Amino acid sequence: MKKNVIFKRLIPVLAALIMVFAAATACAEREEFILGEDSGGVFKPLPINLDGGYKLSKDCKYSGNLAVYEDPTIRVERFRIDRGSNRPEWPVNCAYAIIEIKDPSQIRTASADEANPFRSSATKVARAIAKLKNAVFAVNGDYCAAFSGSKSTNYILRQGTVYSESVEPSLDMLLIDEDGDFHILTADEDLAAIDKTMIDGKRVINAFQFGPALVIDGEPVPDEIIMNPDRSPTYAKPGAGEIRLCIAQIDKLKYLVATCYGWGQELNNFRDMVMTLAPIKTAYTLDGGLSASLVFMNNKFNNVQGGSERAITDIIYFASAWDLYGESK
Amino acid sequence: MEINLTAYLLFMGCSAAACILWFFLAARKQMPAAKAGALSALTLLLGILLGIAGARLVWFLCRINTRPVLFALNYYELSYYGGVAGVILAVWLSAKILGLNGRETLNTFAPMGAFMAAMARFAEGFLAMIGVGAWMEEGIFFPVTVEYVYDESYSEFYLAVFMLEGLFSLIAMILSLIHRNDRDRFLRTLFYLCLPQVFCESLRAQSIKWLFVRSEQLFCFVFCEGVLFWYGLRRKGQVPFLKRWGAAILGLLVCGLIIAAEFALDGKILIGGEMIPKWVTYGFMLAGLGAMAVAEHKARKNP
Repeated sequence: MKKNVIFKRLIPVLAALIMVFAAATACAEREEFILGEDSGGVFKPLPINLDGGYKLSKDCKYSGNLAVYEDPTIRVERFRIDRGSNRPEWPVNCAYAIIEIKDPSQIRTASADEANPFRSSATKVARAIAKLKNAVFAVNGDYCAAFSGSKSTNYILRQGTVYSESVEPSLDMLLIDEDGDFHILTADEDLAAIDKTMIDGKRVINAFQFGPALVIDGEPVPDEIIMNPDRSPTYAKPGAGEIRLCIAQIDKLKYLVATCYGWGQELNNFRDMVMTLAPIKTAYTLDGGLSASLVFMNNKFNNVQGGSERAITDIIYFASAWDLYGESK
Repeated sequence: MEINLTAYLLFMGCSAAACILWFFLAARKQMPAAKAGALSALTLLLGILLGIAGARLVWFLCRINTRPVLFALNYYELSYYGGVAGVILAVWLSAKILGLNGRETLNTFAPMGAFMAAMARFAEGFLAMIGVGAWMEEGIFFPVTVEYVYDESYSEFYLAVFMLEGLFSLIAMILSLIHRNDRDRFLRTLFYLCLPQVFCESLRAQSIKWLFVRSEQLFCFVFCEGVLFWYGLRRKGQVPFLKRWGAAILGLLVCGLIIAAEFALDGKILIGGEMIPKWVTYGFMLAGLGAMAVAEHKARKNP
């Protein structure tokens, strides 16, 4: 009898506590770190090489609630959409970030192996590579040195240098030019014959082969192309519910990186979801699954299966060009 | 993080000299000094040539799907076990050229070979990322982790897998010295060089891969399983099936365990949507390999 009374009182108290905790979590304030022009720094475009970005302010500390980093050269805002909450139409969790930069040199790439970049199959977790490069925001690249399956001969051009000239003819290619603009070369073209170091008269700084492209010139790529397994790397299985990740250009020097996590999505559904996040001009699929890593201020914030972190070969990152400490590059 | 090729070559050169000197001293007990000298010198010469050729050829074959160039020499485009195979071939050829028994010569060379294998692993410390394992938040101490200093404000720590591999090779060398009178001394030394590599290869941040498979992990396992199978094959007389093939069957079971472990480490096998903790996975892997070592010992004891 006494036990029943205890339970009867205890259960409402516990329920109330859980509700208070849940409400507190939901209302947790989104923090912003904003550094103005008066912070004493100098804008310096970054060199096109393998150097990292400028060091961030020592006052900027990462926390789970930090949603915005901004200095006079870069603004990164990150978001999460929980399954069935604010976007019930998409039955997946989604993490994404919108990045605005001042100069195209701030979108950069880095390899896990500093001594033998982009040629070695050495791997490390994305946040470790990001930390070394002072990245504000980083995302896994195309696993360029994985050399496996239908990506064993992919083209590798990073930070203005060609590391592998072979081309995988069945995979779309993403080129980022010296103005930071995205261009897609589809697998329908003769990728081996095309000059991939120049596009529309501009120098290509970075090129990737994973794909497929999800959006080209604002138009969604038709299902019959993106759902064709031959247009995706081996293991990417476009028709299966997998963890997906893409990088997109929204506007001039404005980008979006998105991933679904927790639950997987078919590639066409992922494309449709990404297109609701922002007005996408170009979107391109990068390595997903356990490789999917969104790293903000050296912390991975997309929770993929069990919080595990797969070590990867390369990242794309956005760095600050605001020199606060008189560094020489 | 810098590569010091000069230090690497110097270290390897000194190690090879020590290895050959030891081989000469061991061979001299079995043959005239002049012949032992000729054998050692020939082994050194052929060992360098065939070691490098083997390392390059196996790397080339493992990466043939990427259409690589065969005739090039980059320190990061070599296979360790290709080099081992080349050196073994060099010892055998040297023996044959001098009219010696190949098997006996290889048995004599076994501990020196394991010593050289250990030194080659330790030398990977000069090659930056080549021999390391996972990046670590914080360092422990050398030789568990190595630190790469970028500047006064930033350094990185990695699991020093090459040190662990070197240590295992030294253990193989000690076992080889203990098994001095064993007619399978060379075979068993190679077995104990390859067996721990199945585990160590899994720890490495960089491996030669064919699809998802780490090639050298596969080679090492296939060799070890081959030895256990060979023990079964050569057993004569009326022997119960399990006694004859038990070790080989255990090896196949461990093979399944290793495959499952590799999938689990890559997050392909989850329990309740969660990754299996790495220490559990590696624990199972080590237990399986330990069982194979015990099985080899027992199978060898009852030839």
